[in-house]
Amino acid sequence: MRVRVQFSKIGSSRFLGHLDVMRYFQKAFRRAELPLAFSEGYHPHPLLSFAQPLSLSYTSTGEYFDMELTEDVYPHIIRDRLNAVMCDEIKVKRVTWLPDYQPNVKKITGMALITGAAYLISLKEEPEGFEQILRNFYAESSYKIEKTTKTGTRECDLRAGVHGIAIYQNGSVERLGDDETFVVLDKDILDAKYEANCFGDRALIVFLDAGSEQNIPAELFLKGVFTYAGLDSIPERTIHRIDLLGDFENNKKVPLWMIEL
Amino acid sequence: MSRRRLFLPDEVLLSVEKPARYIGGEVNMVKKNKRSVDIRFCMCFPDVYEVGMSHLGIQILYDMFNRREDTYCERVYSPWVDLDKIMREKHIPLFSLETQSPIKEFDFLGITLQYEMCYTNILQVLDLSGIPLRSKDRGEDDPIVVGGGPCSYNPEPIADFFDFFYIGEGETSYDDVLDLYKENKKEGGTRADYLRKLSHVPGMYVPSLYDVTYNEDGTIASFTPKYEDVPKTVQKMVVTDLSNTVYPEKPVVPFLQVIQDRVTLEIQRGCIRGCRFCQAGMIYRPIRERDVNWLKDMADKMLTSTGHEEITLSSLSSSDYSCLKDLVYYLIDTYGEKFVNVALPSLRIDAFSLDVMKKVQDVNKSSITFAPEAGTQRMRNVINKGLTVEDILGGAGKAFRGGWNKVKLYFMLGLPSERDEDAVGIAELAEQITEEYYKIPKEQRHGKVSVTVSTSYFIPKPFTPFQWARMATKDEFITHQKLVKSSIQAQLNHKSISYQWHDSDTSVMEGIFARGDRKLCDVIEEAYKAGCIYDAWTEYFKFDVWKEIMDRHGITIDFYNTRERGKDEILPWDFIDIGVSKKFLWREYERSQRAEITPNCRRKCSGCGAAKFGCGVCVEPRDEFGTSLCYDGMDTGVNG
Repeated sequence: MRVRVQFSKIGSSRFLGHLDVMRYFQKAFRRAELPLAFSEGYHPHPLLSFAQPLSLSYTSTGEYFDMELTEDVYPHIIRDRLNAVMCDEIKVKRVTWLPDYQPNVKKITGMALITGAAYLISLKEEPEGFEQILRNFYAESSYKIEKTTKTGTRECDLRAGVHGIAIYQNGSVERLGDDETFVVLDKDILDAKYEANCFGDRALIVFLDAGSEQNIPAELFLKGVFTYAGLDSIPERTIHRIDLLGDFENNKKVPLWMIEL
Repeated sequence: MSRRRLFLPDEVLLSVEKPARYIGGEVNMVKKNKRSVDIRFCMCFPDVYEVGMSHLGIQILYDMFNRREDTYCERVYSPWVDLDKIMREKHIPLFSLETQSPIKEFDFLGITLQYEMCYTNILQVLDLSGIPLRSKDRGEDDPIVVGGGPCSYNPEPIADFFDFFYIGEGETSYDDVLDLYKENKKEGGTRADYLRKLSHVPGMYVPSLYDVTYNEDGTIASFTPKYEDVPKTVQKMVVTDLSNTVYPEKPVVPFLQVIQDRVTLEIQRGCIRGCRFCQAGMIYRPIRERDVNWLKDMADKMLTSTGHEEITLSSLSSSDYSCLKDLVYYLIDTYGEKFVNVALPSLRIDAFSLDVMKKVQDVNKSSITFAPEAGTQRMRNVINKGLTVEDILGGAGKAFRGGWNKVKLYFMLGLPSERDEDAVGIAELAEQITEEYYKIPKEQRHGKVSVTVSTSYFIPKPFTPFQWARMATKDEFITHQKLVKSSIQAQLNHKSISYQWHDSDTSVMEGIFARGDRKLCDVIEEAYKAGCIYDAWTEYFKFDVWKEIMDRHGITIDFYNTRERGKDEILPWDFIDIGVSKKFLWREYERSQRAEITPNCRRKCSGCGAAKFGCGVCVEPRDEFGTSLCYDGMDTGVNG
């Protein structure tokens, strides 16, 4: 049986690296006595596939991995058994059933599905007229920046990678610009706001391209917008990943837990 | 849910290597309200997190202290050099992992002393915590600083930095130590009052209550208590029933990959073998086994509570554990199908060990380890290591026929009375092992044989028969190390043998600390202030700095290391009573000079003195020849 697990990584666990989180879950499965499927060979390893690594110091309520079990277990039982043996700052949020792999069909794991990510960003001090800057930025048809990756520096259109900008304040979400391709539940945004380490009751929400095709890290977005506004330094900030999304029908992107692939 | 606040700001955590070392919050970490306990105890391993978290002793004490409702025990480790620098620049005090609060707020700071080369790290921990380095400079608001562990069997080089030392096994008397603290506090007693009362508790050594005077040649003239009520000798504490004591059923599970990332089952404490160089073999006498069913139950509980993928057995000589087969087969049969790896300890090579090794290891990748410790039979008799050439070649031959082709050999150089032929003997033994391999018909061999020889330098330790012996000089070490190397190269099968050796400067320094006295406190403090920390890490060990400071203080390598001590000399650690008598150790020293071997504890009691604890091998039933009925007839211990 295959399941997809959505988990949160909050509080001090924001300083755990990706490998440490993977090790943490491997031990958690044993404590929860879940019938995990192992690979063949002399050094068997559990059949787990983690989605996009989270940058150190980011918190998140939208982390994912897919796993295989040798026996059928109800998703809510998997969730409860794991949460009973985990530490407070890494908890399972949702577990969903996935269809079994079909023979002779290419295996798609959570990682390959990702095309978008939603972030919640809290700035210690917001620059003057920041909302207007964001509105202006979103109104542009294109905004070219230099993007440095492992393979070198190349030009990329930052604006094209941004699909929505909103401001959270006092429990409500005001959209400054939105192409309506990202489907993120308000409930999940509120939940993220509660779990994130924010400086106050106000935060910025952005929907960005993510995954292997075009990836806009939250830091890159911030840097781009500040450069666009002619501001030099980005103030102290915390960044929280609200969710990871994948392509759905009608050009929509939805959180990975809604996708049964 | 209340949020844990981290002590270090995010920008600091993001600028250091592996910030997870400093955040705590691990699975099975004990959570209590620090304001609702009477005693806050901070347990410290003075090395980096990944090293400290691998240590079983701290897990035992952490669990034991936290079973007390009135006590909250937390942990702290040495900040790595990158964070150390930032903490000094920004004046950030050292803090505990659990509640992320300053060490200075605690009632106790307990420091485990596992190896001598951590001494400057102790000062680092005190200094970063804002606790005065010397006991005499501490006030009523400073934590009580206590030391324990193997190096506390000669605490004198660090005596001035500790308020007291706990000598012996921690499970027995900490309740008395903590109860007395509460009682003293309730009565409005001072720090000095507490330490004075504590000196009456067996096992507790309060260095400030003793005066040391010296002869002109630097040896000790007298070591006397300052007051009549303070005992002259301090008795080592011993757990008499190891199957009826505390053990951590829920050890803390680190997020980071630590050195020992697994469940550790301590199957027995102590050793019957009596190797003359081995301090652990003497200070943990007598050998005491844990009940096999108790161990099986503990294995189940610990694997369930941690989720570790591996379990290992810990002891000084596992082959001597009487129920080893039962335990190992149980673990393999029960956990093999759950993909839990059983990591085998060093075992004597026989049919049993080869069988279990085949079950749990990849024969093509694993190696067979022997620790003959010395290259010739005479030298092995001097150190009372019963292993013979026949044992080694026989064991290697069995392993080779079983499919193994890699052998590791461990030796010491610079042993008392060592001659050139003993160094050459190391090379010859390695050669004989390769020849043993080529005796197997070609079609039955599995590729080429590979023998790895490692040598470390012998360091005489307190409470061993060699506590009086001279330690070799650096030049002697290097001469023999080169001799081993050239002898290997001159042999026919030199291409199958690789040779590794230890750093000699570190061994020289370790030798000085091991048998040092209180005069070294000044040197250690000055070296620390000159920037020495993490001396156990070769890349940070600055021998030239140490040498310069020792020279300035008139501390010579000859006095501490190279000089042979006299029978009647007062040794700095003589005030500790480990059960094993000085008379027995001297007798063993004399036997070593005649290359006479002494039988192990099960075969025949040699009257070392540990029988006064009335437990373990000392109370096993014996036949009319004085041999224990538990004896397996093997005159050799583990092969490595």
